[in-house]
Amino acid sequence: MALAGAPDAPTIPFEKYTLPNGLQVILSPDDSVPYVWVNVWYYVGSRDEVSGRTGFAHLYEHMMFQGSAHANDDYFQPLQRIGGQVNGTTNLDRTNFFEGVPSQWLPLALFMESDRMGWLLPAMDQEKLDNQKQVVRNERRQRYENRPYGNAWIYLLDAMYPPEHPYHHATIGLHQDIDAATLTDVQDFFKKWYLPNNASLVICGNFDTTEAKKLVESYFGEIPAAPEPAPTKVKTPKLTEETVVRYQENVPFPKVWVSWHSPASLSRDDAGMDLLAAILSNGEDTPLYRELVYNTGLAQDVSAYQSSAELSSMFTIEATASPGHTGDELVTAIDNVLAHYRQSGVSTDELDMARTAYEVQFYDAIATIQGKANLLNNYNRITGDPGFIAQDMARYSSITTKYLKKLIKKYLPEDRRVVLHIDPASEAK
Amino acid sequence: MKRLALLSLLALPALAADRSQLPAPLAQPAFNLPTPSTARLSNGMTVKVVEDHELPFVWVTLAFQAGSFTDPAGKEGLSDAAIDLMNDAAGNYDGVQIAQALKRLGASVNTSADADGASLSMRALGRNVDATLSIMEAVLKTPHYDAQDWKVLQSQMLANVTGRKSDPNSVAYDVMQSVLFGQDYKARRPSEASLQAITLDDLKNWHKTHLAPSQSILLVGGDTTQAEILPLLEKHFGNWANEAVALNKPTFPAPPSQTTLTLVDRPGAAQSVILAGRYTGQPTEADHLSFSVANLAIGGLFTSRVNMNLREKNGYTYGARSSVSYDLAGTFWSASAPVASDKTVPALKELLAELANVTGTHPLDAEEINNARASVSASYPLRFESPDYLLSQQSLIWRYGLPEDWVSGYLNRLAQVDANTAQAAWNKRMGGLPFNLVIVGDASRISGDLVSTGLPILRRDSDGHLLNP
Repeated sequence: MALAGAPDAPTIPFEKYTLPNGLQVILSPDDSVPYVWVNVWYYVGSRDEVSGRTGFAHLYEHMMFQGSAHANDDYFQPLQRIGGQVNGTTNLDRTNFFEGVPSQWLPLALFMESDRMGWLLPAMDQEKLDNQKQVVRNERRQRYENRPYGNAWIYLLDAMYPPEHPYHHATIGLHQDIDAATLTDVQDFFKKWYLPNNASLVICGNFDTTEAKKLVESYFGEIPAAPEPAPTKVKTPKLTEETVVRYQENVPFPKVWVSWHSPASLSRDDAGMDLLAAILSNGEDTPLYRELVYNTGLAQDVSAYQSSAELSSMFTIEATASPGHTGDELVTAIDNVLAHYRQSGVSTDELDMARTAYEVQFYDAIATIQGKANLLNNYNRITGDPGFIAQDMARYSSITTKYLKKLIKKYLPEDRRVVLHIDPASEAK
Repeated sequence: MKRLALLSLLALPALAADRSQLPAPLAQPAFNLPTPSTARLSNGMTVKVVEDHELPFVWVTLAFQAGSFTDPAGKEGLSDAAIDLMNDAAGNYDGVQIAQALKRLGASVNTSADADGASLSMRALGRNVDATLSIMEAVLKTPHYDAQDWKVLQSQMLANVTGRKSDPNSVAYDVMQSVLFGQDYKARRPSEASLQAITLDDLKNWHKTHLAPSQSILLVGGDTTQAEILPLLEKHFGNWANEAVALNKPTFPAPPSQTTLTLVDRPGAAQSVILAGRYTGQPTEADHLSFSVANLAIGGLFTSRVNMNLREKNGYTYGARSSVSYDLAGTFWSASAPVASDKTVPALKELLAELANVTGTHPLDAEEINNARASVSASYPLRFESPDYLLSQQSLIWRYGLPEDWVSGYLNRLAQVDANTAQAAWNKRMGGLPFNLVIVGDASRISGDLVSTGLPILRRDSDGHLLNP
């Protein structure tokens, strides 16, 4: 039975077609403000990097902002001065680029995106590469090394996936690999991955679809296709034991991460793990919060979450110890909570409340035009259907308490997982 | 692979685009700036409503004037804790019941507090607004201030005091507040001692004496109308009666007499965090917007002078920016750059040179000011995608006593900004004037070289206390 808070399923209008060169195009009008977002996904991420070149997909993303043959200036220059918002991101599975522009400037946004898709290399040089290597190495220092617990995700991936697995290393890569990248690497990467037939283009916002189709054809149509690269796919090996890794760093308190492999993005079980995470830790009424924080004071905070990815996801519970307590105590407390749920399962009430929260969150995902643009590309990439939102929501409705109990047993065994501890360095320098 | 090759052969050749120049714009769609409607409840509280029917939600925020600037010396953290605890248990609900009632409604009730004010807010589907407002009403009027809830929050706040000292960005910010304010206003942040000193009675008393209709405003946005929401607000808040104490607002801090560098040692740091700051004028002064646009060109945008120099030319940093904000003390200019440890001094020198050059060899030119202005004006409609921006601006207008046309007159005021007004505003507020610098980094790797900047150098610890030279 649906709770009072359950909303109706949202819809996103769209039209999808493919150019002769293989570029997938998705148009989604929304006239709420006179602004439009262009969002391009290239199907290449850090999982596709070769040995000795970790971090390259992300470094390459930076190179895409260094100018192309017909716009050989910093990518931000022509766009920022007309009110554009510009950025790009790289993760394990894909690289995306996006610019929001006032509607009248859609031709400029498409010109800029198409020029770097087709004509990046004529404008590339060693000086630009050397500069961005330094920028990216500073990004690594800023976001990972110089922040308390900033390295946690690097350590977790390292322990969760064997060296030959494409998720073994974090997207940011290693300093020495970033430093080793050459112009030839940039050229090869462009030719192999940055192809119209390995990308999809979403236009979302206030625009005329007839006009947009003409512009897309004109700017992207002449970019040649090339042999489609084989996506990196491997079967994720099952963990066979509990691996405990411990680091000592400049952090204020012991903190633990307990991680398991979990089902891939947008599968039914992936939704089940989302719900389980919410049941365990979303809110002051949930068992992990009660048992680790409220009733015992062992921890300052605790959260469970499913990090979805294309090949294999990770389900993680992380908690920060209160002064005087250890990470090991937290792991014991987490295990007590899980043992209870493994035995008794979740209640209908718990499931209904978690599901309602998820249903509401669907609206948060489409609250902005930019959010919608990226969601359309994500659905299209993983399911082939940009209109997957209703089915996405249905995944959550399909989960029962009985099914969730099975998921806990199947995916969260106590004896096959990774436990990461980051403890304060005993002697502060 | 083969199929694709064939397709591209067969397809009609696309009409190749002209790539010899950047394309011209299409026709510009019309845009009407939304405006809030205003009403009053019977207890005198102002209600601002911004309709937006795109999503099926209604947002209601009750904003308060009292923030941590009201914390008594020795009890820093009091207002933050008093606000935070309100929605832990209230009325007929204990903590678990309140969380579960909201989950069943698909709704949320949140509190927030900062130096200058605080708020209580909710979000719900249209049909659940009344039920959610009932919870919000209990949270406002009858919070329990339960001893166990305070014990849990107190330990979290204590841990946060410790935790901030491990984060170089927090340290830089906190030390800057100590440099600027000594022991007042934003330098008055919670300490172990002040958190231990706060009692349950202090919390209850703060709630009783610092929240009142005369010092509050209601902001409503989303899928509702004024006619629909007013009776509900009247029902839940119209009879709220309380008298609050008068609030002593902080004043503008004395500007520094010379630019001084404060170094905070963080052994082993992978980077140095550079932070610069100066209070300069008030947001209500006529040149505030010109000053903001000048700053955009100097350090506010990705394409600004500072970022293009420190990041795109020299690779010293992942990003260097400056910004103009305002608070109860006035308009605050700041710049920040996390830089590689071994590039700390060169990066600092480039930053200082860029700032000095604005009033010397490299004054603001018309093109960069036009670009900076357009970057804000042309993207302005995007801010109205959801009601959040307009509502938050109503809250700021009310909190800081800004002119009523702060939003509606913005684009017109912006259009008046040019290179001359921008340069004049910069010269008056920043040009050649001393500011404060804080660097948090590994002193053993940078301190010797810092002397070559010629700036006086003071050392402080991560609590902001001055160390002996």
